[in-house]
Amino acid sequence: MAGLELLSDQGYRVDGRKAGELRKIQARMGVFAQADGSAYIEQGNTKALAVVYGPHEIRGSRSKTLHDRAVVNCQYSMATFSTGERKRRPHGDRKSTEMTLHLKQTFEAAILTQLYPRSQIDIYVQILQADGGNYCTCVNAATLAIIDAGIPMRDYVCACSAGFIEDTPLADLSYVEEAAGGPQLALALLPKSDQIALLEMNSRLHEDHLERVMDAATKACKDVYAVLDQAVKEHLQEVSAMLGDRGMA
Amino acid sequence: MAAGFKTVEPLEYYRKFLKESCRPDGRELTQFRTTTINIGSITTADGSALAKLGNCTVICGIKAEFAAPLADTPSKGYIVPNVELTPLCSSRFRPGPPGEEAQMASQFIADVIDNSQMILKEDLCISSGKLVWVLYCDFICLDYDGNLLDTCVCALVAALRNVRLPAVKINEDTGLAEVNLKTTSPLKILKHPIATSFAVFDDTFLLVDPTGEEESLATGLLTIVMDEDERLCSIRKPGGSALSPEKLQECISRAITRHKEVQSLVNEVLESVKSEK
Amino acid sequence: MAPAKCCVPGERLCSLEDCAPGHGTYCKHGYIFASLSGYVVKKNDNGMMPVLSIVRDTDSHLLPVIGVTVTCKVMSINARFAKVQIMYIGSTALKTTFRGTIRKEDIRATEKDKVEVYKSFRPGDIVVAKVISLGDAQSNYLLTTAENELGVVVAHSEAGASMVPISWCEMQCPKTHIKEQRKVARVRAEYLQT
Repeated sequence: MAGLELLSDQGYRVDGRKAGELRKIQARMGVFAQADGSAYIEQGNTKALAVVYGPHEIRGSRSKTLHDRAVVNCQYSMATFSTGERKRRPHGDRKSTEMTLHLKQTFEAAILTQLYPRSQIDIYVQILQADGGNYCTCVNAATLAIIDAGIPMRDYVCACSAGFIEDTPLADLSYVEEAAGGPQLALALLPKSDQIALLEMNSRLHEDHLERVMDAATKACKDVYAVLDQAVKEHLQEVSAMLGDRGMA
Repeated sequence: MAAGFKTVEPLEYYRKFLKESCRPDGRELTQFRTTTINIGSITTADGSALAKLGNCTVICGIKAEFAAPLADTPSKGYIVPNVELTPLCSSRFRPGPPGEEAQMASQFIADVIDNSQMILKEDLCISSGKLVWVLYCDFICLDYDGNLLDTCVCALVAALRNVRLPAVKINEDTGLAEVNLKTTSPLKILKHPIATSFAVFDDTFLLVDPTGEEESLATGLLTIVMDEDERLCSIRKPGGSALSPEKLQECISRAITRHKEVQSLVNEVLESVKSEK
Repeated sequence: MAPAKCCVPGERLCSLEDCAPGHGTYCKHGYIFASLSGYVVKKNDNGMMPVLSIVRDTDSHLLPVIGVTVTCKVMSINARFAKVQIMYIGSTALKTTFRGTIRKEDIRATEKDKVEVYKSFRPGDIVVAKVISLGDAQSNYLLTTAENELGVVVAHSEAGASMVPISWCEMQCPKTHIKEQRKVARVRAEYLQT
C-alpha cells in the first residue's frame, strides 16, 4: 500500500506494536443468562462474543443424529455494522460458511463428544466489530464459552494469526496489515499438547520462511493461552467466592 | 420442592406470588428491572448503543450511507430499522430468514420512528433530488428475556444520540459528493420516545416489564410509547384479554414516569461519555 | 479443610497408578487430565483406589441413560403409544427437555395386550418412568412404566382439579367425585407429605 509502512525501521508496526507482540486481550465469561455458556472477547479493536447451548436433543433433521457422539453445530455471523462498509449479508455468504465449517472442525477435535451420544452442542459466534483476526478471536471466545458451559474439552483451543513482511514474521495481524496483501497464516493450537487443530495459509510464502512464521504463530498462541487461562481462573474464583463454600463435597 | 412445583404448575406458582402483589424475582408489579445503557462502544458504526433491561440485552448499530431519494419525495432521507433474533439469544429461535417476531419488532420500531417524528426525514437530505442519507439501524438481540420492544427503543434513542454524520459537500463541477470526515455533526433529534410494556395475567393483574417466563404465561400484552411532552406516540395491544379504560389510564401514567427515568439515564450516560473525551 | 485446587481443561492431574479417573477427567498416555474447569476432589472409596473428579458450581449436563428414573409430562397420546417430554432426570431438573415415547406394551407389566393408552395416561399428566432404550435415528428415548412404582403421579380431572389416587388404576376428582382411570404410581410412604 502506497504511503503506509507496515513495519518501520525501528521495528514498530502501524499501531505501535513490535513484530511479535499481541494486541491487548480482554475477556469476560458468563455474560448472558439464557445460554449455557457465554464469553466476550476484545482483541485490540476486534470484538467477538460466543454463546454455547447444549448438550441438548437434536433439533431439526433427526437424520443427523450420531449414535456414539454429539453433533457440534456452529454458526459464525458478523454484525452488519462491524465493518467499515455496511455488510449486506451477515450470514449465509461464502466467507461466513467457510468460517463456520472451520469452527465446527476445530471444536469437534477438542470437545469430548463421545460423552454425549445422540445430542447436539450449538456454538454461536457473533462479531460485533471486525479489525483483523476475526477467525482467531472467534475461536478464543468459543473456547471460553465452552469452558463456561461445563462441556468437557481435551484442552484449550487458542488461535492467532501471523504474517510475513520484509523478512520478519508478524503476530496477530490487524485489518490494515491483512488488507495489505502478503502471506497470512491462521493457526489454532491445543497449547498443552502442542497439537494443531487448524492451519490455514493464504498467499505465496517460500517454504524456507514457513518454519519461522509457524514459530511466531505458535508463540503467539501460547501467549493467548496465558491470557485465557488467567481469565478462566479469575472467573472460577469469582464464582466460588459468590457462592461461599457450597459445592465442596 | 418449589422448583418442582414451578415446572409442573407454572400458572399456580405465579398466582401464589401475585396474590401477595409481588413476583418470583422479588419485584413489585410496577417495578422495572435494572436498566443499563452503554453508548459508543462499536467504533466501526457511526452510532452505537447497548441496552440491558435485567437480562434482556440488545445492541444497536447505526450506519449511514448515501442513497438517491424517491422521485416523489426528493428531499426526504430514509431510516431503516432491522431487528435480528437469532438462535444465539434464545433456543426458541431457529436459524434462517427472519421469523414473525423479528419482522414484527422491525415494523414496530419503524412505526415508532415515523409516528413520534423523532427525526425529520428532511434533515437527512444532502442535495434535494440527488443525494440523501439513509440510516440503517441494526438491532441484534444478544440475550432474550422478555420485553424486547422496550429494550430496542431504549437502544435506538441512545444510539441515535451517539450518531455523528460527516459534513458532505456536492462539488459543483463534477457533481460528486465530497465527504469531510473531520467535521462531524450530531443528528437533530426532536423527540425521544420511550416504550413501556405490560403483561396481563389472568385478565386481572397488570405486570410491568415482563420477563421471558411471564410473557409466555401472560394472557395479554400491551406496549405504550410516550415522548417527553407527555404525548402518546403509539399504543399497541395485539389482542389478548380485554382491558378497561381505567386500567389503560393507569398504564399511561406509569409510562410517563418511566419516560422520565429512562431519559435521565440516557442523559447521564451521554454526559459521562462526553466528559471522558 | 485444605483449600481445594482449581484446574482448567488440559491440565495434567496425576498418573493412572495413583488414582482412578472420575467425572470431568480423561486419560491419555497413562496420565489423568482434567476436561472441565473447576475444583479437584479426591474421594476415597474403602479399599479401592481413590477416585479423582472435578466439581463445578453449576450442575453438570445430564443426558438420559438406560435405567434411570425420569419424570416426564405427557404431550399427546394415540392408540399405540404416548409421547412425553422428559423434564427431570432423577431429582435434577433439565434446562432443555428431551422427547420420549411410552409404547402401549410398556405401560403395564401384566396383561400387556389388554392395555388401553386412553385409560392409562392423558395429556398433561406427570408420569414417573424408566428409560429402556436410547432409541435409534428415527425414534426418541423409549420409556417404560411397567413397575408398581412407576406411572402417573399428578393428573388433572376434566373439571380441572388435581385428582387423588384411589387404587393402582383409578384416581378421583375432589370436586366432582368422578373417578377416572389412570396407571397410578405407588409412591413409597416416605415420599408422601401428609
